[in-house]
Amino acid sequence: MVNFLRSFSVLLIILLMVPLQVVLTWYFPRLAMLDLPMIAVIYLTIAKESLFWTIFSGSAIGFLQDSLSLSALGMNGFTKISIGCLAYLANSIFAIDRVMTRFGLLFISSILATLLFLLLRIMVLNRNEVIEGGRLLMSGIVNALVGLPLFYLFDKIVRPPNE
Amino acid sequence: MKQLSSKELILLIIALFGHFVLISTQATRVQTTPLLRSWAMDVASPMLKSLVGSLTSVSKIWHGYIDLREARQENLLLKIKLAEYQQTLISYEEKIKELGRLHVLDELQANLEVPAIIARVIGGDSSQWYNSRIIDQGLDVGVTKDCAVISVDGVVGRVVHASKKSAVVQLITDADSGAGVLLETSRAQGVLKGGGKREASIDYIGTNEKVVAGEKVLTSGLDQIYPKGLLVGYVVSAVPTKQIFQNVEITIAANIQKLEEVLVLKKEPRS
Repeated sequence: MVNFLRSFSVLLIILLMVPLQVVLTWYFPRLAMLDLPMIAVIYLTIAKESLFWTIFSGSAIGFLQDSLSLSALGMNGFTKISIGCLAYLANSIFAIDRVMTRFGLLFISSILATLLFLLLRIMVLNRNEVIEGGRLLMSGIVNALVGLPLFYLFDKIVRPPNE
Repeated sequence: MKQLSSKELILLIIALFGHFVLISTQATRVQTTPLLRSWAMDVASPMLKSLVGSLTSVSKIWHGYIDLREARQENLLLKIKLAEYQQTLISYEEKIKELGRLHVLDELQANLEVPAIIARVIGGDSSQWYNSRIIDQGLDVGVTKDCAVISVDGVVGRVVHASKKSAVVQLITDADSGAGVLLETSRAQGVLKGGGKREASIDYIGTNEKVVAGEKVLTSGLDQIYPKGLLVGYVVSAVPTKQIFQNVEITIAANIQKLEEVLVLKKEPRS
């Protein structure tokens, strides 16, 4: 029962990341490069160590994110699930429980998610996109810096005190 | 000289003391302070003064401490009260400003040829790739896809998704947006393309058209979304090219970043 409640609360918090993102980007347009839903999906992937959770959370969050945006439904879901799977693989090779490994994972995931999203826009939606290297790096750094304390917060909620 | 015996000495002391007491009682009758008392007082008074002084000091310190605590608490309460009053004041000021904005929107709404409803912006885009806003009105009040959205300053965008209670508005600055526009003076027509920020460009303006910086850019109505004649922005520059069209850059009139209330123009005709 306790585990169920923990999982439920985490899912709720993670789903709340989308409205939070929407409000943040409205008040602070410069924070648009921050991808809170992606951070949440990556966390859930490495915490639960289950692809089921990756897919479930990636789809739910991606759908919600797309619904509140102009992007085609499925774009964010696709990106989130793909990045979640990469995080799952990385977690099976490296122990993603240290600050530096987590920073690295978030940084690389953010860049890959951006590139994947752009690729989808170019390939599927036939859009002309310009990849700005500086912006890409900045987005990776911002997501990693924000993701670390969020991971710590999620750790406090998800993991039992004796772990 | 004869030495006093102890019995004698005691008697002497008692006698002297008796006399002294007697003198003292007599002295009382003359309305003066008894000497014993006076002496006693003289001896005791410095000690008493010191003691009382110390006690007074301690008492003062204690009372000061108590007062300070009370004053601190009072100060805290006053600060809270002040903060509450400031918040109330700010909220009243905000309400007054909002009423002002809504009044302007009301006036605009009344002057429009199409029915319109006021909506509040409740969110931005959830990703960095698009420029959109979420508004708090939806299908329930007649907000449907492709409804034009304007502010008191000019055109804002169009509704692209609508649910019962909310809608997503694609801003005119979005890179994927487009709108039919015309220039106020030259009457040249083109298609406005969003630039991602507050700037945008107009495509398909021929090099033979005379475009002046500062010229108003209005909606042409040809896109069937925005009614004709709404202000979109102002021309910033027009650079002729070797091709048949010139590069016309404009700045958007509406303050997109600070949108709070907007007007959604309904599709149905005014009843």
